[in-house]
Amino acid sequence: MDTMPRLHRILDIHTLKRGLYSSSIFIMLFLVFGVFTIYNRVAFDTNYLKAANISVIVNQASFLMVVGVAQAIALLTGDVNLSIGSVMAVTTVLFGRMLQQSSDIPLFIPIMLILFLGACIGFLNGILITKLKIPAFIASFATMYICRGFAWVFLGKTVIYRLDEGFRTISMGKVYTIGEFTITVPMLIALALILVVNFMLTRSTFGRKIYFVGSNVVAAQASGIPTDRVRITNQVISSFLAAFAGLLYVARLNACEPGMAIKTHFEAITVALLGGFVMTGGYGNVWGVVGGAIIMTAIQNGMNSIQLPSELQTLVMGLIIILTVFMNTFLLEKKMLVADKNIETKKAIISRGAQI
Amino acid sequence: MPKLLELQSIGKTFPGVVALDDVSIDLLVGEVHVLIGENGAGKSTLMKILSGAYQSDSGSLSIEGIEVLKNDPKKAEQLGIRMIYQELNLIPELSVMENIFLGHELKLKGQLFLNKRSMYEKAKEILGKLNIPIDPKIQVKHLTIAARQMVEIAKALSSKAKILVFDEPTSSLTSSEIKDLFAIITSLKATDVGMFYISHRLEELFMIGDRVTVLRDGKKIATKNIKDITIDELIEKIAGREITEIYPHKKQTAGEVLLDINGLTSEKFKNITMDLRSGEIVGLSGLVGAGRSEMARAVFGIDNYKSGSVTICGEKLVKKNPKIAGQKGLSYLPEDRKEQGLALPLNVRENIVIAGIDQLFPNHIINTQKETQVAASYVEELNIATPTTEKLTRFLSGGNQQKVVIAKWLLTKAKVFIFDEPTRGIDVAAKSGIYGLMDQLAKEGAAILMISSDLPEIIGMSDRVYVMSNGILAGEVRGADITQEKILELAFSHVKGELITDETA
Amino acid sequence: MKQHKKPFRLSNLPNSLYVLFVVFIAASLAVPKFLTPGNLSNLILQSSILLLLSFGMSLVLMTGCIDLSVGGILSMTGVVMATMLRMNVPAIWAIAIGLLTGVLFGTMNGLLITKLRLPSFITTFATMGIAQSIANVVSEKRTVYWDPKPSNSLIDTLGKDFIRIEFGQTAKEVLTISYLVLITAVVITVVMLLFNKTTLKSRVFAIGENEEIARLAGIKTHFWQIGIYAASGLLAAMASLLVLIRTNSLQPTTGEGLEFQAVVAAVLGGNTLKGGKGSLTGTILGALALYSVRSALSLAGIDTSVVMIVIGAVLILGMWLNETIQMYEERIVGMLRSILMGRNHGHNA
Repeated sequence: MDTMPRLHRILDIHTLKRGLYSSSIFIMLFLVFGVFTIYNRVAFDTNYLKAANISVIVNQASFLMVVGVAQAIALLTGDVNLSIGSVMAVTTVLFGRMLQQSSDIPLFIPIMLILFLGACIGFLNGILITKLKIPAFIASFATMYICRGFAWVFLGKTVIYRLDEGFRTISMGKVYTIGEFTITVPMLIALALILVVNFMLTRSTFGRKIYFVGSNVVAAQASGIPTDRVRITNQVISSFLAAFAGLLYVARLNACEPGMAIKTHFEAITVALLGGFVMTGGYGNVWGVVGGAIIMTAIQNGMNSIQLPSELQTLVMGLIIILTVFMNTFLLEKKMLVADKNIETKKAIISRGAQI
Repeated sequence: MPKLLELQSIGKTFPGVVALDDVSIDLLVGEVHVLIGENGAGKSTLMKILSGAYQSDSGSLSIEGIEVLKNDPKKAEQLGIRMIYQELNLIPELSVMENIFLGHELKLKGQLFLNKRSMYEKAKEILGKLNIPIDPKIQVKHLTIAARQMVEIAKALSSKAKILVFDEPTSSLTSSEIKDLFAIITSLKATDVGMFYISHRLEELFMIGDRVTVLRDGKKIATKNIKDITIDELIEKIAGREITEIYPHKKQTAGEVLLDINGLTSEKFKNITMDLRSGEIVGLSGLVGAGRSEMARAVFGIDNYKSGSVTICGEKLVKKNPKIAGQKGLSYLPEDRKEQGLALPLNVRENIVIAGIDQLFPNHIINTQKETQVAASYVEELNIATPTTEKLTRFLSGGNQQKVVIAKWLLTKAKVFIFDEPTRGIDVAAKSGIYGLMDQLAKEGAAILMISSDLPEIIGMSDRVYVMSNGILAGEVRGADITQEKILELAFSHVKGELITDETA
Repeated sequence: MKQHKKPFRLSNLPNSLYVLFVVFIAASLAVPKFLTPGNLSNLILQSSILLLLSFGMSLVLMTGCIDLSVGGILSMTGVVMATMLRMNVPAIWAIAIGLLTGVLFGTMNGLLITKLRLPSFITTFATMGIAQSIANVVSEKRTVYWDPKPSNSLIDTLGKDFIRIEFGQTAKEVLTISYLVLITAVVITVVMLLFNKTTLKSRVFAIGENEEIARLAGIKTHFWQIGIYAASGLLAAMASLLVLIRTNSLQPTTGEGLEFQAVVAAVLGGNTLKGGKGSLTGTILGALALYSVRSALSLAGIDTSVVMIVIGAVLILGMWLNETIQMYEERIVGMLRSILMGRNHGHNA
């Protein structure tokens, strides 16, 4: 056993299963791209899969990836962060005000300040969840209301237009074009974020603690993990990333308004769940968020391309969510069991599943 | 007497464990049939098959000569089979009478509205018969464990029962309550009800049983008339080997004090003072709900406590900080491995390293190769039956899961181990493996506190035994005083027979 | 023999009672126009819609699940009813079909959750989108109006006042109870009657506490779960009917966000997201507390943005109050006991 740990790791079904679990989203991705490509080809004789279009999709998806990661991190400990959209609004509204009031200060100061503010809101969420023992759903819902309210109070019905052009490169910048495919700054930002978070989750001791807390918070306590601290830190990271996403969004919109990102918390949940994360926590690979974000953008983009009325798009989205969650929770569990050599285990799991 | 029930060649397997292997058993009308065997011998599994909670892999079940083809809970209920489960199956937010009639409520004409009046009267009647002075309208969450257990019994008696199964009904009852229960059982015998009775207290069996069946490692060893067997014969059949063989711990001289608990007090326990010395295995006995696990959790820092102190190797621990406790060499192996000890969706490697992860990787970056090596070395050392360190812990058997929890704390170089029910639900072979490990730890100078409700285990393994009763440390027994009678006497010494708790559940 | 009766506990009262109490006193003192017959009638009318939704939500929460689709169902069934009225379908048929749509949609939720074993949060989140989408498609995203005709005079009738008591001349001095409120009162009474007088409560609590125990007690857990979702759909459709009567038209987006308000009212009322317990009385008080805050703040002329902040704060306050009352209660009970025990001790000596 000692001599070939690596080989075992590669061959072991449970390792494969984890890969498979997060890759169900990529199966969906193939399906979605396939459908739209064929439809576009047959109905309009256009190429959905052309590099320029893919580039547009990936660029748009990059924004969703940031909020998706913010939500995924909260979900990992079995909590949820409904305040993501409101945090984006309240921080960027303040950001806009700061830029308006004093245009001569260096840009990084307000950026740092609002990222810090985001982290503070996350800290508040964390305290409400762990110390006041309010369920995350309710706690973050309350802060969602509070943050959105403050955003309206600060800016009223006005909108701040025309942001610093240099600042806007974080959303609008283009780096390199290969053929028709343009690599943009948001793509690189999202990629860097995914790499950093992936490293944190899979290679750092903190990441391991997050998964452990999410899998079984009581066992985590009994293993000497400061569970409250882990969950608070998680909420801080989540809201910090929300504030960061807010910057990306306003840079793209070229405007700060209190009503922005009104449904982003839901988009973020959708992206994370499509990517294989679960509401109960302890499960999910951050690369799944990449797939989740791309699939969601591809569907929206594809539905526009085949001129589906916007009213129907929510319906299609709903059906796809149900289908994907069904695949995640059910089909792959079965597939894993069939592949498992231990027949007894299989029986036990299936019969237990039937009971639950 | 005619045969009421016949179970033939029942077989059942769980992941990694053969729970039942070709077990045949029957029940006569008006009989109390005692099932006996160690934890994990297969008694509860057999009864769960009878009640339809589990499906057997092979074998048949027939009632009054008619074969029951596909058993499920609803069907079992229709057949008149009633279980009084070991783990309490009550809904805390519902009232006593609502719990008693759950699933077969009495209704007014029209079958829509409940007949609360007659439910109340009937519940009162049943409770009265059992001599339980509880208002049927009180919510179960306000009851003590003992009272809940009695409500369980009332629940089973509430509708026409043909076959009753008592799964350790007396484990948290006082001796007068046990007498009441036995009176009920005797009166039920007269009404032609057949009963299975599972218990660990051997003397009870001779008081109440007609026949006895001994199970060991999922196999039937023997069925005898109670009159034809002595206690010693029974013990031999249950264990199947010399007692000393299962409990390897040889008493030895204790070293310096490693853990010192002084006047520890919280809502659930009062003024607990005890110490643990190097090389010792100290038992902590008491009834369910006596506050043992709560105290252990407070000592390890999971829960808070009001006053008192915990000192480990001369260093005082801060309150409510399990991280520090772990670093100072204290370890806690919780009661319920699956619920509290392991992250089942994670693999063996991840579970083994979790407690010592900060010591193993002080710069916070995990070196996967090193991690795998460390985990593999513990898998080998503790003989954990898993093909690789990557197997998810939920696919391991109970004994191997427990070993993973132990491995977790070996990694932190823990010096004091608090084992909470270390062998519950583990088969006998794996049990002796766990005992061997505990003995080895003690030999190497660790101090072990073993919380257990299994009296033979307490008696067989402990150098000294502390007994808690109703949140109070009722006493300490040593050497030749470590007997079942003495421990039980202490365990019941502070039980006031209260049925309603003051805590808000 | 010792009396083993049910002890009285502060924490056994619905949590929202305290919240409502605090909010109501504060509002009455701070906003002079709050405690007037006119405003109270208005308050009750406004909270009716939310009450129906949060009743369904409470039942679902008690089973340990959640139903985020109630807002969507409200929009969808409303559009269905309004469109039929527009097509001159007799009001009674329009209403019946609307309610049936709600039941069917709820049943679908239940089937997805029980038979496909999908998590309720994400499933009902997805079906919320589906329902809302259907509402938008059918209505083409425009407010649906209909012409008053004899065939739909029922709608008009139901919009009228049932009781009108005048304490003075001005609008604020008139106490009115409309048929809407009457309908709500009847529905609420029926649900509470079913909850307390039939097996509903035991079923719902047992499933929420532990599905396995429920199954072992011979309860058809899937049947009940699907039934609860259907009931939630029906109540949402009824809420939609109230909106339709009140506004005499229907906006397709009318239900958006209401699901969260329903969760808030239910949770303030002592229902938990874990299930196995809860209180319908609490939900009523929770919904009233929520609308008392809104009404008081709007009477005081405070901007809606501030209202949001206050509601968020009230929610946190409510949850915190629940914890604290339980905590202090133990302390109070402990103190009383030590005094009593001390006295007994002295007596013995």
